[in-house]
Amino acid sequence: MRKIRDDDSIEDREVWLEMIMDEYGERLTKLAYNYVKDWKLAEDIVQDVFITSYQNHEKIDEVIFFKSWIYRLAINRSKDVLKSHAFRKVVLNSSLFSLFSSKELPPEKELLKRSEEEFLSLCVLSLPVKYREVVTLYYYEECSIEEIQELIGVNQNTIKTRLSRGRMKLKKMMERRGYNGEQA
Amino acid sequence: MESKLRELRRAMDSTTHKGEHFTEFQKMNIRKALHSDRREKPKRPHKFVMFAISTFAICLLAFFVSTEFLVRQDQGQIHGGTAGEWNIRHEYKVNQEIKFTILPDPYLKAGKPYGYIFSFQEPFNTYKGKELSISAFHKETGERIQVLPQQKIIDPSPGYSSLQRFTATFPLPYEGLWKFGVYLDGKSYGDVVVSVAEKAKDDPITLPEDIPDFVQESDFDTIDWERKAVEFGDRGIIGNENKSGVIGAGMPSLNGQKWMWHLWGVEDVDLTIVGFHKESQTVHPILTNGMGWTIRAYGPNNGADAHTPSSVKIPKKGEWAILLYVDGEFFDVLIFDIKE
Repeated sequence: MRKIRDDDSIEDREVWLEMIMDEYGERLTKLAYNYVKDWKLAEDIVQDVFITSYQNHEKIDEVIFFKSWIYRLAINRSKDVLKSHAFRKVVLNSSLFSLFSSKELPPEKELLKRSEEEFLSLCVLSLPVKYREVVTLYYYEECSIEEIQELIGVNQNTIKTRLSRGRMKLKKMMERRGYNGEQA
Repeated sequence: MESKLRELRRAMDSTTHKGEHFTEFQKMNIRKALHSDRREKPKRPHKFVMFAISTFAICLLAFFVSTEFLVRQDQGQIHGGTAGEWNIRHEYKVNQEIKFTILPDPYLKAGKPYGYIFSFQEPFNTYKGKELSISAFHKETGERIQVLPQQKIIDPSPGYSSLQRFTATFPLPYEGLWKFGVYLDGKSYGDVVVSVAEKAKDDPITLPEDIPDFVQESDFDTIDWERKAVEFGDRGIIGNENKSGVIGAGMPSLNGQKWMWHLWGVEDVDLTIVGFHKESQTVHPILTNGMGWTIRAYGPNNGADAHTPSSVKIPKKGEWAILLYVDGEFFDVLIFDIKE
C-alpha cells in the first residue's frame, strides 16, 4: 500500500494527487461507467472523487487501504447519480440507455455482426444495478467477495446470491439471443 | 458462463470500455477545479474574519456614539439644561435628583437688595471646606455680576445637617430673567433661573457694585434729557460742542460698535463712562473688551484736545444718558437715542 504522507504541504498534496490520478483515474472512470453507463457522467464523478480526495488528504492517513476508500467513494458517488432526479430524467430517455435495457436489444442481425465479447459486455451492462454491481466488481474489477463486502457494505452471502442470480440472468439473455451459454 | 465471465475484463476493455477514458484533459480540469477551489478556500476564513471584524467595529462605533450622547446629556443636565435655557426654574436637577433649590422673595424687584434662600440637598461633605460663590447672568444684556463673592463653607446651616438653609442677600440692577450660577471652588455646580420684576418708579437708582465711588446717585438727577447730542465740526462728531463728543454713536451700537471719544479742555485724563437707560432707570457700563468703566484719553485729534478709541455695546435700545467723568470728577452728559 502506498505510504500516505504525514505532512500536509501544498506541494506534497499536488504530487500525491498526480500519483493517484495516474493510478486510479482510468479504473475509476470505468467503474463509474458501469453504474451510470454514460462516459460524461463517469468523468464528472471521477473528477468529484479526486477533488474530494485532495481536500481530505490529511484525513486519508487514517484510512488503511486507500484503494478501498477511493473505490467506495467512487461507487457511492455513482449510486448518488443513479438515484438523482436529473439522471432519471435525462439518461433514462436516451436511446443509448434503451439499447442496454434488458427488454430491448437490437435485432439479431445486428447482434451477429458484433462480437461475442461485445455482446457479453452489453448484456452485463444491461443487468439491473444490484446484479451488475457484483458481477462487474467480481469479474471486471476482480475483487474477492470479502473486498466487495468492504466496498458496498453488503454481507457476503448476499453477494454470492446476487452473483449466481446475475449469472443466470446473463445466461438467459444470451441464450435468448442465440448464443450458446455454457453451464453457469 | 463462468469462463466467459472470467474474461469479462478483457471483453469489456476491448469493446464497451475500449479506449482511454481518463485523459490528460480531464486531469487538467481536475487541477483547474482544485486551484480555483484553493483560491476560494483561503477566502472562506477571510470572509468570516471580515464579518467578525466589521461586527466588532460596528459595536465599538455604537458604543462610542452612545457614550457621546450620554456625555452630552450629562453636560446638559449639569448646566441645568444648557446655557440657552432661560425658563424660570427654581431647582437644579442632575439625572432627576434635586441638588439645590432657590426661594426668592415673592416681591423680588430690580434695584433693591433682597434675600434668597438656597436649599442645598447633598450631604454636607459635598460643600464642606469649599469656596462657594454665586454669579448672576442677565438674559437681556448678557451682563454678569458676582452677587456673592467666594465664601468658605465651614459649618452646616444652623439646625440642619447640611446646607439646607443657605441665605444670600443682594440687589439686582435690572428687571428680567436672571440665571444664578453656583460655583464650588470656582467650578460650576448648578444654576437656577429667576424672574425679577421691574424696579418701582420711586425707588432710588441702584448703582452697580463695581462702579467707581465718585459716581453718585445724585448725578443722575442732574441729567437734562432735552440737551440731546448734536453733530458738530467737520468730522461728524456727535455730542456737545467744545465739551465732549463721539464719532460712531450714529452707527448701530446695540450689538457692539466702535466709538471714538473726544474731549475739550483736558489733555491726558482718565475718562469714566457711565450709561444710564432712561426708561428702566438703570445704570450700565457700556465699554466692552474688559475695559470696565474707565479708559485713558489723551492726544489731540479731530480738533479735540484729548481722544480715545473704544469698543462699546449699548445694552438696550431707547434714550440713554452717557455720563462722563474726567479724573474722578463729573464732566459732561451725552444724550443719545439709540435705536439700533
